[in-house]
Order: sequence, then structure tokens, then C-alpha cells
Amino acid sequence: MKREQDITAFVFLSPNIFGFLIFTLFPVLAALALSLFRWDIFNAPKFIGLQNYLDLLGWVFEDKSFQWIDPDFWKYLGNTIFYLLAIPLSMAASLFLAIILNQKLRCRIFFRTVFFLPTISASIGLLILWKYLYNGDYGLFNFLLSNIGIDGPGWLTDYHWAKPSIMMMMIWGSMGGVAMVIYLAGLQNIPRELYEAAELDGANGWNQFCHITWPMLAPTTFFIFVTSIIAGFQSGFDAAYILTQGGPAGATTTLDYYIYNHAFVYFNMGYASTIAVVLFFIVFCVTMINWRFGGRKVHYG
Amino acid sequence: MGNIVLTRSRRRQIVHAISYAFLIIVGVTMLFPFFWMLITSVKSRYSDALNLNKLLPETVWQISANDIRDWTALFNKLESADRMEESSGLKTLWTAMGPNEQTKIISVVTRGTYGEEDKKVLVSGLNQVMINQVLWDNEEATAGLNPEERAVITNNGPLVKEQRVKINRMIIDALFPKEIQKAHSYHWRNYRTIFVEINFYRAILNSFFVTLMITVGQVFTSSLAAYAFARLNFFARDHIFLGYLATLMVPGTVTMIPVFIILRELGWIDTYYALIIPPLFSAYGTFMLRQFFLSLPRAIEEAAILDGCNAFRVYWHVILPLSKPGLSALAILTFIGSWRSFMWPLIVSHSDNMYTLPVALSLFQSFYEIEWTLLMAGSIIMIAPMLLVFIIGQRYFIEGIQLGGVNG
Repeated sequence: MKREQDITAFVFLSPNIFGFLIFTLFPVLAALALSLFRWDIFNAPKFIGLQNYLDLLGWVFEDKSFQWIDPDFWKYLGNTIFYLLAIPLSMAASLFLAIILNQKLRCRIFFRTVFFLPTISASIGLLILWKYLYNGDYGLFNFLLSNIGIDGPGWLTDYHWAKPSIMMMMIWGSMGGVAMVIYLAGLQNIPRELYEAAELDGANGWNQFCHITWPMLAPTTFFIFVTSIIAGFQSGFDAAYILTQGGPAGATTTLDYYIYNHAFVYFNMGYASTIAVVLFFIVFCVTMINWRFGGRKVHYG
Repeated sequence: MGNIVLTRSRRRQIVHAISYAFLIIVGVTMLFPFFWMLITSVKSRYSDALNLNKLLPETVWQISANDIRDWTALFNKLESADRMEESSGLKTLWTAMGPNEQTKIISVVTRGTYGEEDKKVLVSGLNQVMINQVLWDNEEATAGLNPEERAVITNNGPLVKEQRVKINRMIIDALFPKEIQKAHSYHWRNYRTIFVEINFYRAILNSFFVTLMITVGQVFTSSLAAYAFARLNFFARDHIFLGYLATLMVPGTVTMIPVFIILRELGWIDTYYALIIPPLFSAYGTFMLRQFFLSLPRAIEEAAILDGCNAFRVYWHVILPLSKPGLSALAILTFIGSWRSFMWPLIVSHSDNMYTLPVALSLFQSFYEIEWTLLMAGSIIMIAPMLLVFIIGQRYFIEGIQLGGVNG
């Protein structure tokens, strides 16, 4: 009986497991192995031990000054982390919208749908739209600014504006999206009696938010935060590819885009794998840290 | 006491009013870019920055009267406009039924070195008789002409520049009253243009084919595995499931390079196999459907098992029909995810025939950098199917997110 179930389960699992082994598990191991080689994909790979890691993470003292061997990597890691700053902003907006939508208002389904549109249509098409809106000569933003006498910057071509511009776009695209829908579900799970009791005690809206809504939503907030951070470390490729080609001067290159370039533009398969492994390690650590230190705050605020 | 109650309900009214105002502001912020995309996609391809930034598309005739020197020569030229279209970039933009039925507006477009466009709109379909009619019948329009000028224009004689400009301007104004000049013109032909100028049909077909295959395949393999995880007892089940969950953490860029190399060894690069097979197996889908299956009551299944159904028949005849909402949610998420998927198709497709819509669009935008109207038309074609699927299946979609999210 037990054996029979094992066989049945194996048949059920086999299509998925087979694909999982070939396209996930083996590639992860292969990436680890590849990171020890120098390989341009056309010639035979050459084993170089940990040299890729030393090149990526190492530093030298030249003329008594500290220098990274690959300063680009650190810069792009910084860019990636900078983009993460959009997450709390976007989450705050999501929570705010969810609280407003959680009232007994007419048209709330309509507004929820409208707020979700940027999330649903996030794609190359939407990026091209933003490229147009941000364009220095043709774009809507600079046209509107010029009407009030401001000569707007080249939003995506100015070194200092490029990153904030992309962050603005990210917040626009995500504030009414998945986070808001999850927050709405979370809000609906909070017992109404808590608010009624608070009202009897004379607590105002802000107090109710601080002492009921926020603590009760802590697990939801935690979940959204962790998943957003993990996704955030792996994002930015599409935006960099379409909007800026990673520029100006690397201001908008993220790790994802850097890996793509090393792998499929310069054909440094080994080095690209090394960056990917380091990215994996970062994501892994963030997940662990979040679970370790976030775990306590989750249940009771 | 009554006073307090009144204050409270008044306060709620105020809160609601502020809420509505806020919702409307945010709603407009969300919708306006989409409106802008749609309206830009039907503006004239040859709009300049000023015309692009008008709220509604206007006909872009910059009637540069001083360019019309010799009417007779112009008419001759315009009669062969079709032939010239190929040779010198003369393009018929817009045919208007002016006061005279034969009147056409055409535009001469010459492309400069840096993609700058030099736009001149000329008037065709006029003939000398018409000009004379305008000059002599339209007392008001030609009030500024002296007899000498009238004589000159009827004979096509030489004029100094200022006179020529003045006369041409008057003729054009007389022939094209202001309300016609300002008529909106929606250039739906932009949509046709992008199909003609790039291989868009093929890209759309590819995208639909690949997306449908991935969606069907992923729902199928995920539901099979999810059933096993939710209902069967087998060796090391929970360990295997944990392993599945752990892979959700692996960045796509880690597996991307080895998978590319595997496909290259198989000779699958630039084929449908490369586009379809690697994304078929989803740990997320398995996880989501497992959660859904766990929420189903076991009673019906147990009855079926007592009737002698084996696991496959239970899966096929009991679980799947009961799981339509969960399966729909996964199907919609997968459809949208693969439709918009960009990086992977970009890596594994190298020829025109294999490009999916996002890849084709990204190439299109690198070639047609400033053709915003055409780019917006392409973007709308890319976004429309996702919106359609979302609007049809919105309920399942939202449930799917909450299923994956709240239980996660």
C-alpha cells in the first residue's frame, strides 16, 4: 500500500520534478561550478579557482589608496540597494490606499481596478510610455513644466535625475498593486469589535491606526516587505534595458543588468555566474536576516 | 448629547468626502498615462513636440505659404505624388474634403541627418481656375490685394517674397476655413503602419502561441504536483515540498546562464522549445495550487475513493472540476507573466521569426527612437491582451494573489 502510493505520487510529480531538476536544481549547481571558470562560451572553459570571486569582491592598494578591483560591481550594488528605498514609500502608499478603500464607499471595486492597472500592464509597453513621458524634448513632464516657466532636466539622461525618475515610476506602478490587495485582505481580517471598543474608549482615528490596524497588519507588512526586498534585488533589468541602457554613466545599472551584460554581451559566462552567485548569497542572507529578526515582531505588535 | 451624534456623523461625511477626493486624484494619476498613451497613438506620425503635447490630436498642417512659389509646377508635381513617394520621401498624409472635393493635404517630409524632420504641408488639387475663383469671388479674403497683384497671380508672374506669402496665405485661408484647419484627426492608420513596417504579425502570433503553451503546460504540471503534495502520502513528501519552496528564493539570473548553455547544447536556441519549455515548470504554481487543494473538503474525494476511483480519476474528475477558481487564478497569473516576459525571450531568440512581442517592441523602439506615436500604438497592442484577461478574470486574479499572499 505504501509502495503503491509512492509510485502514484512519483507519476504525479514526475513532469514537474523532471523540469525542476533540469531547469532549477542542476542550473544552480552548474552556476556555482561555472563561477570557478573563465569561459567565453566559444572556447574551452578554463578552471581558475576562486579568481572570479577575488576579481569581483577584492581590492588593492594603489599609490596608498584603497581601490576595488571591480568598482562597477559596488556601484551597481549601490544602485540596486538605492532602488530598494522605493519599497517602504510604495508600501506606505499601498497601506494608505487600502485603508481608504476599506471604508464603505461606493465605487470601491472600480477604484481598486483602476489602481491595479499599472501592475497588470507592467511590461515593455509601459516602460516605453514612461520613456516618452520622461523624454527631455518631447515628453509630457517637461512640456507641463515649461508652461510654468521651468526648464525641466532630461529625466533619464541626467546623472542625478535618472535613478529618482525610475523610482518614481516604480512607485506609481506598484502602490495600487499586489501590496494594496494583500493589505485589503489583511484589513478585512481585523475584527470590527476592536475598533468599536476603541471608539467607546474615545480613541481617535490615528490612535486606532497605531494601536489596532498597524499591529494587526504586522504579519502582512512583514510578508510584503520580505517579498518586495527579495524581488527588488533581482529587478531593474527591463527598466535599464529599455529606458537608459544602464546609463548615464552606469547610474541606473542594477546587478541584474550587470549580469546580463557580462553573460550575453561580453560573453564572460564565468564572471557573470560569479555575480549571480553573489546575488543569490545576498538574497539568501536578506531572507535569513528578515526571518530571524522579523519573526519576533510579527505576532504581537 | 444630540450635538455629539451630529458631530460624529458630520465628521464621517467629511472623512468620506476627503476619501473620495483622494481616490479620484490617485485614480486620475493612474489612468492619465494610459489615456496619454492611447491619444498619442492616434496623433499624426509627423507631429512635432508641440503637437504631441496637445491634449487631443490636431491635424498638423503647418501651411508654409512662402514655399508655394509656382502653382502650375506644383500641380504637375503633385499629380505624380504616388511615384514620388518612393523616390523623394513625399508622403500623402491626409486627405481632406475641403470646400472643394478634390482638395488634398499632403506633406513633404524630408529626413535630416539627425532624424530631425522638416515638415511642409502643401495643398494639391487646386487649379488655376480655382485660384482665380478664390481671388475674384472672395472679396473679403482678397481685400488686401491690389489690382497689380491680382494680375500677377493670374498670370503666374514674378512676385517679391512678401507678396507671394501674402497671396498664398490668403488663398489657403479662403480655401480652408479655420474650423477645417483645426479639425481633429485621429490617425488610426498608425496601427496599420507598425504592422507594415515591422514584423508585428509574426511577433504577435509567437507571443500568443508561446503564452498559451506555457499557460496550459504550467497549470497541468503544477496541478499534478500540487495534488500529490496536498493529498498523497509518500516518501519524504514534506522535505521535497520544502525544497520546492526554497527554490522560490533562487534569482532567475542564477539559473539563466546554465539553462542557456543546456539549450545551446541541445540546439534549441532560437526555437520555440527554448521559449516554451524552461518556463513550464513553476514552483510558485505548485505552491499556490497546493494551498487551494488543501482548502477543498475531502468528503467528495473519500466517497469517490470508496467507489473504487484511483488517484488519477479523483484528480481528474473530482479535484480539477472543484478547483476552477484556483486553476483560473493560476492560468491568469501565468498568462500575464509569460505575455510580458522579456529577458528570457531576449536571450534565446535571435531571429525575426522567433521574436515575441516584447522583444520585437524593444527592437522597434531602438530603431524608431522618436516615433512616439508608432511606439505608443505598439505598446497598446502589447498591453491590451493583459488588460483584457485581467478584466475578464479579475475576481480569480485578486483571489489568486490573496491566496499566494496571505498564506505565504
